[in-house]
Amino acid sequence: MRHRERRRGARPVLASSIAAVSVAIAVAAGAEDVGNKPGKSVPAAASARPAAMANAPAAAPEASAGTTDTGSAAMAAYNKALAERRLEASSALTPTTIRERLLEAQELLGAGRRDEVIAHLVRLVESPRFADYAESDEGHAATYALGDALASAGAHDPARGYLKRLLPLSPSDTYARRAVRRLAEIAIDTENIAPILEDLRAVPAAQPPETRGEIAYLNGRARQLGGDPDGAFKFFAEVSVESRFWAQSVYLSGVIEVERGRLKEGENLFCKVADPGRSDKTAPFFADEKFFAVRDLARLALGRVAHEQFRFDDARYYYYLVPQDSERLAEALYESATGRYEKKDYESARELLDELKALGVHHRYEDEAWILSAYLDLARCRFEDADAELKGFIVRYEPVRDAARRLAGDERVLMRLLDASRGRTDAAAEPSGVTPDAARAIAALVRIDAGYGVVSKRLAQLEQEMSGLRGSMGQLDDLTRTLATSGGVRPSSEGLGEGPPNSPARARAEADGIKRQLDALERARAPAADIAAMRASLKQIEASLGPARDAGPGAGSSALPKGADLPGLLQTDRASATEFYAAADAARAKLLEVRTALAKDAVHRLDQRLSRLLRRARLGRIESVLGRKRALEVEVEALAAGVLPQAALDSLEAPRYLKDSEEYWPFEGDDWPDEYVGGEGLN
Amino acid sequence: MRRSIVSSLLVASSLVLTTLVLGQARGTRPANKPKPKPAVTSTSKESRPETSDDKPKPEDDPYGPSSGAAPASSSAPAAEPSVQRSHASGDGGVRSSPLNPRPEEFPDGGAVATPVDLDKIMGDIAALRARVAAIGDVMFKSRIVLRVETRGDHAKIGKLTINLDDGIVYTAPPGFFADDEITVYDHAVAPGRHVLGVDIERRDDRGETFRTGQHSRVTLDVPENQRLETSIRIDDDSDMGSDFPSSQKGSYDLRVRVRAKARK
Repeated sequence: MRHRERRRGARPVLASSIAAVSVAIAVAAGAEDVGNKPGKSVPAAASARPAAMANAPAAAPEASAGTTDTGSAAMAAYNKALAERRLEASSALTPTTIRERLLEAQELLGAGRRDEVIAHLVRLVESPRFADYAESDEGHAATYALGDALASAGAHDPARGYLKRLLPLSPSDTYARRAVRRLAEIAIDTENIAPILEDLRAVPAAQPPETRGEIAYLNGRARQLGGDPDGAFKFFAEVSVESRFWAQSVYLSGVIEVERGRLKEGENLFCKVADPGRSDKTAPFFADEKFFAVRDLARLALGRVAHEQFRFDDARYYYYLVPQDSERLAEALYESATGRYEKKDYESARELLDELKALGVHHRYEDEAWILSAYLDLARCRFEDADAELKGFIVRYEPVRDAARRLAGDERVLMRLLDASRGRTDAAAEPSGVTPDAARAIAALVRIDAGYGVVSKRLAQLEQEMSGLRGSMGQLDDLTRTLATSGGVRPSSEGLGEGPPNSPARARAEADGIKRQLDALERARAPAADIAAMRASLKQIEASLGPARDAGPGAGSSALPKGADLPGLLQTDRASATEFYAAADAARAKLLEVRTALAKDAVHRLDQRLSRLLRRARLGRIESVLGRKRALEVEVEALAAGVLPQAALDSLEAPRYLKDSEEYWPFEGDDWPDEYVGGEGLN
Repeated sequence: MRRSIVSSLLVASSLVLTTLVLGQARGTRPANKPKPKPAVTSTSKESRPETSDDKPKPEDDPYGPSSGAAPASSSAPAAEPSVQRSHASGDGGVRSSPLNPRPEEFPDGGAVATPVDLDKIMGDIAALRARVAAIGDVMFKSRIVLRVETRGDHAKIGKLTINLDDGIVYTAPPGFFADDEITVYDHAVAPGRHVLGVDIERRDDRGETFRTGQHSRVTLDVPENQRLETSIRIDDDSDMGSDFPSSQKGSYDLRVRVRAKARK
C-alpha cells in the first residue's frame, strides 16, 4: 500500500510508488527491494548532453567513460624484459593447451579462487604467443573468460577492454553475443550506461534480435535514468519478446505510462507481463528468476492501479495472483487487506490479515498490518479488542522507535544491524546496545535504499582489491630483492605483530566496548552526570579516531632505477602500487561516508514511519473510547425508549449462564423431586 | 344478457383508458433535482482530514525544524476541503486507509554518488595484481599451497579470510564449509619466511548469539624450489549453543591447526 489518497494528489504518488518497486528489475540483479524514482538520478551533466548522441544519452557521469586500459602494454613490456633475460613467460601454445588452461580456470572459478583465475588468464591472454590464436574459438573463449572474471571482481574498465575485443566479430558468433550480454550486465549493475553504449557501437549492423534487444533496453534505461521518459518509452518498445529484458521493458513502459497519468495504458502493459498464462513453459523467451520477480511486480502494479481507480474487486484479484512463494506475498496481502478495508469489506480484510499473520515470517509490513488490524476492529465496533491491540502496538513499538533514534547516532552499530538485515542473519546477535527484540524489529522493518547495497558491494570489492594489493606490494618487493640478490631468499625479519593495518580497527573495537558498558550503566540507572561526562570523553576519542585510516604498506625501496628492463618495470609498478593504494584508501573513505549517510537515512525514515504509526495508535485509542461512549449512549437512548438492548434480553435467558459442558432442560411443568439430590421428601 | 355484456365491456374499456391516460408521462421530463454539494468542511468521522495527525509533532521528530511554527503554506494539505470519494466512480467505499505513508518514508532511490574514479582505481589495481601474479609465477620456483578443512556439526562459518603476508588470498563465500580438504590457494612465492593469517568467525546454528572468532597468525618457511603444502584445519567443538540456554553452562572450543609439508 502506498500513498493513494486522491485529495493528496494520489496519482503522481501512485506512479512513484509503482516506480519505487520497479527496482531492480531494471537493475539486473533484481534482488534488492529498491526505490528508483525516475528522474531523480539525473546527473547534472546529463541534461546538457548533445541530443545528437542517440545511442549514449544519459548518465555518463564519470571520468572513466573512455578508459578501458587492460594493462596490456605493461604486460607486453614485462614479457619483453623476461624474454631478454631468457625467462620465458609462457610455454608453447596450441589450441589444446588453451582449452586445458580454460578448463583449469573454470575449476578455479568453481572453487571461488577468482584472483587466481584472473592471474592465470592474464598470463595466457597477454602471452606474446596468444596473438596467433586470438581469432580462434579458443582465443575468443579465453578473452571472454578474462573479461568476465574481471567484471565479477568489480574491475569494470579492464573487463570492458577485453570484452570489447569480441564485439567486432560476426553478431552470430557465440562469444560476440556473450560479450554484449556481459557488457549490458556491467552497465545495469553500475548504472553507468553511456560508456558501454559507446563500446557497443562496435557491434556490426546485422544484429540478431537478442542483441538488438540488449542494446535497445540499455538505451531505454539510460534515457529513463536521464529523465527522458518519452525517449525511454520508444527504446523499450523496440525490445522484442525474444530478449531477456522483454519483461523489464514492458514493465518499465507501464511505469512510464502511469507516471504520465495514463493508467489504462499502463494497466494494459502490466497485464502483458502479469498474465497468469505466461510461464517458463509458454513464454517464448528464457524465463529466469528475474522474470518471475518482474511478473510479481507487475501484478502488484496492477493492484495499485485498480486501487487507485477504486476498482477494489479488480485490485483484490490482481493481488491474489501474487503466488505463495513470492517474496512480495506479504506486500500483496497487506495491500489487498487495505483495499478491502477501504471498500468496507471488513470480513475479507480480516481474512487477509489473518493470512498474512499465518505466514509466520517477519516482513516489512508488520507494524502497518498491526495498526490496520486494530482499525478494522474499530470499524467493526469491537472497541475493546481495538484498544487492546493499539495498546500492545504502543508498548511494542515505542521502544523500537526510541532504539532506532539511538542507533542513528552510532554508525558502526547501525551498519552492523543493517548488514544483518540485508544478510538475513539474526540481528539480535549483533552487539548493538539495544534489546534483542528491538534489534530484530528494526532489522525486520527497515527499508534500505538500493544504493546501500550497491555501495556495500563496491566497498567490499574495493577492500578485497586493497588487501590483494598489499600482498602484491610485498610480492613486488620480493621480486625486486630476488633480482638484486640473484635468487636470494626472502628475509625472515617479519614478525607476528598485528601490523599497522589493524590498529585503527582495534581502537574502534575498544571504543565500541566502552560504549556498550556505558549503555549497560545507563540501563542500571547509574548517575546521569557521570555517564554524560564519560560519553563526552568517548566522543572525543572517536572524533580523533574518525579520520585515522588504516595505514598502507610502505612505499618500498626507491633505490633501483626505473626503466624498461625488469628491475625498472618492477620499480615502476611498486611506485604505482603505492599511488593506487593511497587513491583506493581515499575512495574507500568516500564510499564509507556515502554508506553511512544511506544507513542513517534508512533508520531516520523508519523513525518517521514508526512515529506516524504511534500517533495513529494513540488516535485510535481515543476513537475506541469515543466508540465505547457512543455505544453506551445508544444503549441508554434505547432503554429510555423502552427497548431493552440485546444484552439485557439475553441476560434473562437461563442458557446464557450454562457452561459449555452443561445442557439446559427447560421446565415443562412436572416436578420430579426424586430426580435431583436434596429433593427427597419435599412436596 | 347481451346488454349487460356490452355495458360491462364498456366499463372495462373506460377503466383501461383511464389507467393509460393517468399512466402517461408528461411531454417533457423535469430536470432532476441537483444533488446537494458536499459540505466544504465536515466533521463526520469518515471524511475527517487525515493530514493533521500525520504531521510530525516536534517531540516525535527530532530531525525536523526546531521551531514549531510552520509557514502557512506548509499546512495547506490540512486545510484542504475533505471531499468524499464519489460512489459513482468506483465499486467501493469512501474511506481511505489510515495508514497512508508519507512520501519521505520511502527510499530516495536516486543514483548513489560513488567516487568518480572508483572504476579506474579498481581497474588499475586489478590489472597490476594480475600482472604481478603472472610475473611471480615465472620468477619464483617455490610454491605455497593452502588447503582448508572445517569440522563441527553446529558451527556455521560467518566469515573466513586467509591472508598471506597481510594480503587476503582467499575469502570464503557465505555458507562455506569443507568437510573434505579443499585447495584455496596455489601460487608461486619467494622462498623464505611468510606470515599466514586465518581470520574466522563462527556461529552456532542452535543459537546465533553464540559466536566464536579467532585471528590466528603463523609463520611458514617456504624452502627454495620446493612446494609447501599447508593444511588449515578448523575444529569447533563448542557447546554453548546447546548447553548454555538450558543449564547456564557451556564452553567454546575453536581451534585452528596448521600443518605444513614441503615437497620437491
